[in-house]
Amino acid sequence: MPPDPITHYKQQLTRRRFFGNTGTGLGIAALSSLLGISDLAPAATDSGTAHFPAKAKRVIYMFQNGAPTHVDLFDHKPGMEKFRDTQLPESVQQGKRLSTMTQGKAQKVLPSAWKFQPHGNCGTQMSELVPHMGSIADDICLIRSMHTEAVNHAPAITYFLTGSEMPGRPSFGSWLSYGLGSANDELPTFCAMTSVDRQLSCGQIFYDWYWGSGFLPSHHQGVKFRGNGDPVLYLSNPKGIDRKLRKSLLDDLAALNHLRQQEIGDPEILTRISQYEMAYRMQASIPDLTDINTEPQHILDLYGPDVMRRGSFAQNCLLARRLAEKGVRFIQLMHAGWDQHNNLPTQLAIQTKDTDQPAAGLVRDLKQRGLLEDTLVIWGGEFGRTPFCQGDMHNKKQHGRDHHPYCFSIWMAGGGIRGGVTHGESDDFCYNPVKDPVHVHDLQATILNQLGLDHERLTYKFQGREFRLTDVHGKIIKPILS
Amino acid sequence: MATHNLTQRLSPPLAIALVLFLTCVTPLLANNDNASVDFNRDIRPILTNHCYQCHGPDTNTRQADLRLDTQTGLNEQRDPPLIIKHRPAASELIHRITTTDSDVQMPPPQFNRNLSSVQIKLLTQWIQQGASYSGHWSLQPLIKPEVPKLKKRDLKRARNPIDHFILAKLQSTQLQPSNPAPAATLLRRLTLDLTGLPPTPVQSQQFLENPTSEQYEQTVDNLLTQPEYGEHLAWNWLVAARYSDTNGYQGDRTRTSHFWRTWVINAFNDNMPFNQFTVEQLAGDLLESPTLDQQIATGFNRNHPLNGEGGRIAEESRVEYVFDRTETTGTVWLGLTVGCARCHDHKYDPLTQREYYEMYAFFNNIDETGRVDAGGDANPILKVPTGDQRQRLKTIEQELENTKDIERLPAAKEILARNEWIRRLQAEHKLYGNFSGWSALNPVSATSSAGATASIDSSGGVLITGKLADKDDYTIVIDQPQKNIQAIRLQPMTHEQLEFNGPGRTSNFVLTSFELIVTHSNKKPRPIKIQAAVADFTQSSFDIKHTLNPNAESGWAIWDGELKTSINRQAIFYLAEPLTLAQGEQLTVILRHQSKHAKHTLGYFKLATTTETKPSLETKDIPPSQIASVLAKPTDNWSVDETELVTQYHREHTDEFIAARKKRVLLETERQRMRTSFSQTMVMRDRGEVRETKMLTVGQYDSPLNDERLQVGTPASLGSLAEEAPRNRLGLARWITSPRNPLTARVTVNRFWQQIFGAGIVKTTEDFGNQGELPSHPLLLDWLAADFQEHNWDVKRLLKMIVMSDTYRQSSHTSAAALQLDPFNRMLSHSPRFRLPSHTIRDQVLAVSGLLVTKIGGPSVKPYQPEGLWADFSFGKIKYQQDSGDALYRRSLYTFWRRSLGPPNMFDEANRQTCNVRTARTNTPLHALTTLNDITYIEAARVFAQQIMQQHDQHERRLEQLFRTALLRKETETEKAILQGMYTKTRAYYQDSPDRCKELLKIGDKPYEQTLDPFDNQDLIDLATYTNIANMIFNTDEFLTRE
Repeated sequence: MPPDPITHYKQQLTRRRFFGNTGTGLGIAALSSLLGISDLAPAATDSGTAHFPAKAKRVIYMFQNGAPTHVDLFDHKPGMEKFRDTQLPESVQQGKRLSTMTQGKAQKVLPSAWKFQPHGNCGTQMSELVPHMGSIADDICLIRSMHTEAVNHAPAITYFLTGSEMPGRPSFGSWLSYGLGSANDELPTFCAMTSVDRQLSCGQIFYDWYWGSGFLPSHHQGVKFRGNGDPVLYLSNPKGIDRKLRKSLLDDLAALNHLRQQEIGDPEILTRISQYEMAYRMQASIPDLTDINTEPQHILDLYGPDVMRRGSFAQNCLLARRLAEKGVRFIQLMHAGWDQHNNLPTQLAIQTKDTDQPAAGLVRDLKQRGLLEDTLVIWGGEFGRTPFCQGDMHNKKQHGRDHHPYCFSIWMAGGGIRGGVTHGESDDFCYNPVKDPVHVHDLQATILNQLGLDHERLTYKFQGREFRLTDVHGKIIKPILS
Repeated sequence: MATHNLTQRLSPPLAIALVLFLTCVTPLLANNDNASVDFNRDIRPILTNHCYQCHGPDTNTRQADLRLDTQTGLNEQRDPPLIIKHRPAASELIHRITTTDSDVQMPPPQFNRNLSSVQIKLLTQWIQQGASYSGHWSLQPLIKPEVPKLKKRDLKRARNPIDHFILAKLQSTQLQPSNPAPAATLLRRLTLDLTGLPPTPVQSQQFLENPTSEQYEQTVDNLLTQPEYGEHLAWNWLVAARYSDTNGYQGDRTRTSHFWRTWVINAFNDNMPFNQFTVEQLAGDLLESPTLDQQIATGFNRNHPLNGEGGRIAEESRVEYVFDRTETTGTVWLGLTVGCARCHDHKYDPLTQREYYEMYAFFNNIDETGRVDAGGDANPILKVPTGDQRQRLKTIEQELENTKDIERLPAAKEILARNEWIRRLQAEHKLYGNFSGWSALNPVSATSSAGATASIDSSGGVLITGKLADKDDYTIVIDQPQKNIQAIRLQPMTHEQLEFNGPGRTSNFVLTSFELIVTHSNKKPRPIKIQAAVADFTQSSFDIKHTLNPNAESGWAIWDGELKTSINRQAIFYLAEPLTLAQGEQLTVILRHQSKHAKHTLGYFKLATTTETKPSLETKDIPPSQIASVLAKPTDNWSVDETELVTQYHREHTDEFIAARKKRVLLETERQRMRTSFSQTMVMRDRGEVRETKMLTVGQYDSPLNDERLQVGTPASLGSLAEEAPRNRLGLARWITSPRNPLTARVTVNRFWQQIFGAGIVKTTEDFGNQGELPSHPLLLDWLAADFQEHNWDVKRLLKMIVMSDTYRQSSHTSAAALQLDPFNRMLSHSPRFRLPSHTIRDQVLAVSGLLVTKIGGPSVKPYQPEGLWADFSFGKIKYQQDSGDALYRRSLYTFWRRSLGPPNMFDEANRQTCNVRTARTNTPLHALTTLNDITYIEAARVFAQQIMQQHDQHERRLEQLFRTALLRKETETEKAILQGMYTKTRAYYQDSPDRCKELLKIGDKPYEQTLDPFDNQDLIDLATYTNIANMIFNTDEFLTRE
């Protein structure tokens, strides 16, 4: 039973959209203002109606679990060389809390071992480790002043994806599913895919609340596409039952259900019939979608050599494009393996080699199809890494960088975000933002804004409180909007 | 549900919204100026949603010192006056909400909380009618209301007070109660609601043959005594308690919490009164001499996640756990969102931040560290026997009593035997001048080469304690033994100071060498040759003979299984030549333990010698000198003490006594061993010294708001702790279950009502506060709650009353009128119809197919799950080891629940991260895929089909029976035709492709060959066909739904 008539009404609207059966033509906001019921107005909930015209129709979020090092990839500070192997000045640290792994030890400055160079017409400085990202510099907006509160992986990722460090809140994609409804009738609204670095160097678990629906009705949760077995759980027909037989029997099942509906009068039965039809369609559409053999070689090449390996980040990037084409609203790619505490000099190059080309390839591919315009692409982790060294400064096989929540970099592209710009600045040690700091909630507010949703009005009442993705915070990052 | 239908028929959206709006949001509105406004129903929700943010209970955010959540606040003298009764136009409140001047307009426009014209009208009417105030309904004292009187027509329908309330309310609408449900529907509904399982064929037959009211009641009574009832009730309680088999967070380690689950099942089955159920779970450990079960019960508040991440600050975790307990307790028993007051005074309900931390203080004194410090568990823990162990322990205790009885047997009973024994010994003594048999040796010294402590007791026994080395040699020195020694005896014996009672230090031992040497202070040591050795028991190849070869790696050992090793043993070493020590000589015995079996050394033993030429294992002991000297005298000359001494000695050497002692040692050893193998479970236990509680700034564990040390306490709005109540969890638990607590009984009966009807009388089961929904039948709720209290919080009685009502027994047919007037069926004009929870759907197919294994309680099991799921999410660190056999077919309640990734085929189930008392019910394609394709469902369909085939030969009967057994009703002609069509085409399909037939039949662990024999090929094709049909029947809406 849905929580109240209004919500239920909105769900019904969504359901009809879901099955390509739209017809009312009036959104809930318009309806409620007609009736003068302002209770209905504040939330654009579940109606498939945005608060205002959207710049982006969908989001591809390439989440980089483990926290990529902004110091070595995006935030060029040549001045650090002078301070190599010296204690990071207290004036920079400002007494901020460190993780228990480096607390109480010396914080010796470790400048990046990699070269930076300007890219594109905009001249954005990026590391030699990410040449492909460099090649799309004119399409992306690089934010160098991100900051967060969480210092451990799971809470920090949960914060980015649900707005709270504690599990239990709805994830980003489920908010969108709830707020905007579905835009296609054969695939889920919200899909999640995961991959890990090839050395399995990272121990972070992919918790299912990263794409969960929290207290929202559970049909808003992300559907996890798997890297092996059925791409979606229980998708395949049982062995010994082919699609044709199944279809024919499902038609009979629908007939039985229709008879029952006539007898008992419960409209929920009709919904069930529709859901079984949708399930049948998904059984075809998802294998179609994950079958990449139809892609021409030059497209596959865009994503790099790993693209044919199932479950790889590269293949997930390609699948993301295919999902975007089908109108899936929120595509969440998660790639783990950036947690280089003690293997930075050796592991980072491998990690970037595996992820740089696919991520850039995805943006290029979207662009050449005209999809980038209304697809918002985000690339980034849950925090950054310290500019000082963790481990043995003089042994390249045993050092790296610790967690750093106070300042880090992410980038965005498409979906009404300006390309070829950088936003925000850090200090001389990439330690703290010194200009235009961007908080996690600001980023969330901005993403919602691009989708035509006011983050202060996208609310859901649970346990007596109106909840928001951005809690009670969040400012739109206006300068980066095109 | 309703609107879907409506929207299809009434195309203009306006009409839909109007219907919805008028019937549900504010039923009374209807443009009627004379309608009476009710403060709690109509006004409070407006104030709560639009005003309390700044004019509510939170003192920190209160604006203009204006408070609209209390009567005092509303009536306060202000200038201009806020409210003038009966004069809305003159009231500042109305002015503020109607003005267009954005400087004074309320709520301020930037808040996005503007009032609608309807709401403004309500507020105006309210003041017009006198602006009466009443306190929030759920906090008012619970008083049992009168049962409403009914019109004659309705009176006939009413079966119990519930119906009076429901029908009285229906009278005020245009709705009619529905016809009674068909008997089969009712029976299926009833068994599913009370046991979570469909009726068995026997139950169906009994009831459907004679569906009278008496038979119905009989069925209800039977169901309430079935053990499946407790299992069914346990599910929702487990969900509320955030029960899981793992800790959550990184690593997600396994814990042992199933003992608590079994406790819950038993408590429901025993119909433990709900107040006792509450007290034992919140504070069982604080009861006087708590039983094992009462301590296990406290696992309720240990079910929260545990964070064992490296680098995690333990105190931060601990504080998190205390929050969780406080908030879970608040939700489950009080229906309050107390968590809101963790960081600030509650915005809507009368609960201050200070009161939050006073509640928190009850749970802040657990003897815990915040670390995962007890295996996968966290202290405090309790050692717990399994069910089987409990049973065995009981038997052991009983048998121990018996052996003690024998040991304590009164001497009178043995008097004949004793006298005979004395006569025999005295005769022997007269004849030979001494006794024959073994003479105990009293060593003068005993040493260990590895540094263990060797001590000699008064009977000459040598006990080895202290350092336990892998290898050790003992040297025993004896002074003045007998003359003319023929043999020497070694007796490894049990001793209570040894682990598992000995005789080895770790129960068993391996004696690799037994050597005898004669020493003299100024002579060379002289080894004594041993010719042969025998022992009363030998462990397979560990023969006593090895001890005669000093270089042997092997030796003598006595392991005879865990339960028979702790027994007195003996070995005899025959000397090559009789030995008599010369003056100044000593006899030294060396016992070597040099085998590869570490720590297998003797723990306690005695030595004896004999002068008999052919001593055997049966040869008796010579009485010790103390006894011998008495025996040497005529009995008439014995003193009372001497008689007692001999009597006691005799008693201890009777066969019966020796057997009893032996048995006792074995039982004690078994008990001791069992205790070390006990599982553990997490429980509540308080620290001695009370941990300080302070308010925390925004709940930060390391940021106390101030220095004030808080005491435990309860929110003022709910009443205080009793004067004499202990200031701990026990006091809290008694306060919660006090009849004066306005919430507990209301919240509890509402949750049970929700369990039966799918929605509570208060729909927001978790929130009875200002932001929660008002009850649909407030008087009924109060009546049920008061009645529940009056009848000793009897849960079975409550459930029986609900299911005996006419309201419950209605048909679930949904009329167009009902859909239109009451789309969510809050008035209960018909029986609610809703999809079964996924765990019940699974149980149902297991039951229908006959696969279900009905074993109650015990550890969790791991049934089918798609491959690689755990490995995927944990990078291969955690793998799913699927069980086999019976474990595949236990009820879903026992399925292993991994907190970070619940069982994949249980959709729409709460995530077990936090407390949940109202789970979602959605309808998605993923659910369809699960019940269509999961092995569980395919296998059940096949086994079900097979069972029907075995019971019926005729094709038509088989088709009918598939349908009727699953759905408990006859198919209609149309349905029959559909089924027949399914059969024809599916059979043709498998006829053409026998390989597919085999593939399908192979799904699931339960083989089809065994039970199908002697079916031929055609039967296999039929089986595949019926399997498909069963699979479809399992997916009909009717099967998935509680109707």
